[in-house]
Amino acid sequence: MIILIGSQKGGPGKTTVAVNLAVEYARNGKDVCLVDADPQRSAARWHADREEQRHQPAIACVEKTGSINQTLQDLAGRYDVVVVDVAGKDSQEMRTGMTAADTLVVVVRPSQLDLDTLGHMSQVIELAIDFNPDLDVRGLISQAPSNPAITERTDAGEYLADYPRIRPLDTVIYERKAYRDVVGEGLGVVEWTNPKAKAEIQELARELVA
Amino acid sequence: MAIKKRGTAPVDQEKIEAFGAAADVPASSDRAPILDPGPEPAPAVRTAAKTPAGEWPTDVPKSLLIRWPDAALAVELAAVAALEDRSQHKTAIRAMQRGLEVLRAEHRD
Repeated sequence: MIILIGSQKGGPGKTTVAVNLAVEYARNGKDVCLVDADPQRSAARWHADREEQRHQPAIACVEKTGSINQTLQDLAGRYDVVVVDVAGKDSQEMRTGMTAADTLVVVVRPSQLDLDTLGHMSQVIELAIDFNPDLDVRGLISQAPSNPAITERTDAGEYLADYPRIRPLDTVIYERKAYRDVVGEGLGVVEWTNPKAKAEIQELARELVA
Repeated sequence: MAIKKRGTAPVDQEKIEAFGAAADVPASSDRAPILDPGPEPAPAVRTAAKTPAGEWPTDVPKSLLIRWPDAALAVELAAVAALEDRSQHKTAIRAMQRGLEVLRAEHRD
């Protein structure tokens, strides 16, 4: 199964989502390969930290930029789950990744600037579906304010509903310090002490394979 | 979990490559700022066409280290790259291609 984490805007936490999903699937006994297709190499650096600290379970990591379609097809035959992190823009990696992925997770913050990218993203998705008609596109709201009095999360959900090709996930990733704490340790939040962050990632991982 | 391994499906690789390559093309040319149009550029001089694909002339270095005379040009490059949503490297290559075309045209005049 290939899960591509994408967006057309930098900063919504794609790498955070990618590495945390990789850890969660690995802890569930799956053979997991994390593909870093972002020239910034954030996921690869996280993976290097994990290797250095000898954290278990082990996760494979491949760095590949440019066209990644064939690489993903190959990895999908060798691993149970392939989680792909791409740069936050309309890139060659994101497009060619879409042509191979089972699921595209479009990560957006509940902010106007992030949500305004969905129009172009939808157009690219439509083109990708010509190559990959089975692509399942899911919308994930990230960095949502944990204060229930702030309605941005609801507003963002309504905005996402305007793009029927992008099915909103029930899971929402909230703004939590735990995500920042673990990433420098080569860990996932499911290996950390914050139960809310852990529950979010577990719920997201379950929802994506349901 | 409903996770399964799957085999390699046949794909039209050429079309996928073209689809992917289109990501680096700006949506419209009017997004690119024109600071000083200067003279009408001459037809593009494609040095790549002079060498077969995959070959590199032995007497031409593959990289160029630039030492900025001052910060102005570096700042301008960063600003234009941000406007075009490209890397500074790609923007610098494009700027150099256009600039060289202008300079070559001046030498023809």
